[in-house]
Amino acid sequence: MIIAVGGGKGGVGKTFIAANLAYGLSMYRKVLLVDVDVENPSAKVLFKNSKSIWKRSVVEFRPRINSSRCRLCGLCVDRCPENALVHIPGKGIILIETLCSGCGVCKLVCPNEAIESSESINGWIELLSARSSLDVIYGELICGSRRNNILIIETLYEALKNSNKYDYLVVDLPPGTGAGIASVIRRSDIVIIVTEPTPLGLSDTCKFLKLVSKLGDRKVIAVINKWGIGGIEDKLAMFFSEKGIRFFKVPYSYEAIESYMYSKPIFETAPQSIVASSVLEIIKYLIQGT
Amino acid sequence: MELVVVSGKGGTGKTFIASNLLYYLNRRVGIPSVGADADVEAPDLVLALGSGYRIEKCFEVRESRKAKIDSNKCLGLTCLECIRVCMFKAIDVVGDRPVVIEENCEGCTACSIVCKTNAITYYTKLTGKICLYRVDTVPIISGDLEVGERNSGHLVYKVREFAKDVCRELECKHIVIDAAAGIGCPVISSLVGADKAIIVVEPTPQSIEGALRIRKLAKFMNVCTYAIINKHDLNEELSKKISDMLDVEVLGMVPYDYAAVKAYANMQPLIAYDPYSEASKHLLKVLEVIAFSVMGS
Repeated sequence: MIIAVGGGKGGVGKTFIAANLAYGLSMYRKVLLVDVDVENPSAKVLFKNSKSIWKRSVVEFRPRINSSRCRLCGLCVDRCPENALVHIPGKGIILIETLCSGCGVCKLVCPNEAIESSESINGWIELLSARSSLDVIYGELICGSRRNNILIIETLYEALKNSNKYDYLVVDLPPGTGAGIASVIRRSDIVIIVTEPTPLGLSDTCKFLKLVSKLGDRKVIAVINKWGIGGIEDKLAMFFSEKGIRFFKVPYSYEAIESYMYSKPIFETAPQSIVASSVLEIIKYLIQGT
Repeated sequence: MELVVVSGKGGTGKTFIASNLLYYLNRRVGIPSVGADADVEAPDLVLALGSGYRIEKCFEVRESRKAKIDSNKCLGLTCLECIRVCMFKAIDVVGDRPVVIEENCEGCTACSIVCKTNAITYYTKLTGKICLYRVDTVPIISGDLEVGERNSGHLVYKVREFAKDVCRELECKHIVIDAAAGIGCPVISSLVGADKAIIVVEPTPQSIEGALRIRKLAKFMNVCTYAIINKHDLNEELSKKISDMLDVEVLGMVPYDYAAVKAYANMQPLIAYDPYSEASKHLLKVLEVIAFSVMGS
């Protein structure tokens, strides 16, 4: 069972909900928490005593031009979709590394086998053991890379390889509605939209829902986090009701902020709190319904 | 000048700072400035500035190339050369035929080069939409990426180009860019060639970790960077350390204030909605520093 936790807006509490759901579910089942917020992976922060199982770098293709074989025909320059190859007279074919997407078209079109394979690091993927029935896998983008979408996909595929070992995969998505997020949703059984009761939260929820429905029929539930901050609570509740989307409220409370500040799961810092019991309510719903 | 508002982590207050800064520049101190919403996957800047907006101009960007496989020509399971060469995991076998996963496809043409039966063609689809809004008098350029699209960085460049045109046309002095969260493609496109950047950071471990990432990126890209600490009273001790941790000049701090939530709910910048609130008092000081020292108005 793959559960994607997203919602267009940043800072609404996606990681808070995903990490606590994963922790809570792991009290009953085997869980893998998958953090694909590769630009700012922070789910692991909640599990400080985790042990690393393995960590590997993710590399992508870069062309290396063998100048003794290159006849400067310019085909690679013409066919490069990112305009990352330029022909500088007197210097030959030069790669502008930051533009290269690693697609390999240059190597495929070169008639003289003058392009050799080289690699560039795009980021890392690490698998951690957080507690007996909870593992965490995350991807982390290298500073300066534009290739966040492909790293999301790599991290997801790495998680899917081992999915039969777990009852649940809980995927913590980055903010937004882009391609990498679409890839995850396409492979998910349930999508949980996390939002907050502000007009911005509602607007981003609409865009996120548009993405989800574009990718086909799947179960969607919503979490209105920070319920009670004094925004547009009722309007948002009405919005989900009208769409027939089951929603859960997680109250804005000191316990939630404290758990966040100390970077620990709510079930450790305040297991008796209303926040913990509202997360537990979602967990029970997930276990019963699946 | 072009000033970019960034943060490694989402939800720390980029749009909050950008919307108030734009209101301050245009309405408080009379320095005409354009806003550019570069958070194209979740654009909110117009909403944060006000509910009474009108759209002046819109255009579509239609530059996303995607592959399509003609199943009648495809050799099917006996070949699958296209899957072998695709670096983006954009082709999957469904039934007995390779099928393109649209959101993964970069339109690079590698698959069509190796296809033995010329079964692969390309089509162009909508990347996103860019509009010029007027919120009261403030001009805002907003980019809206088509859901599930990948060319966010490209769309951000277009947003910035258009913002520059509008800025020239309206004889504005500055462009304030509200960037996306993170450090990836759209953020890099927001920072390339920009004059200065402001990191909005909260005194939480997650936000500081994100701020460190964006600080490193800005340094790498040679963009001069400052910071604003939002909700500094969540953790006073940590707030004091942020300047050293990030190695940046902190322009000021804004306390947590219920008025800020109320302002959002009413779709107005805080300094317009409740100018005498505790947060407004601090925010106004920060905005003055940005407008007159950082931006050198």
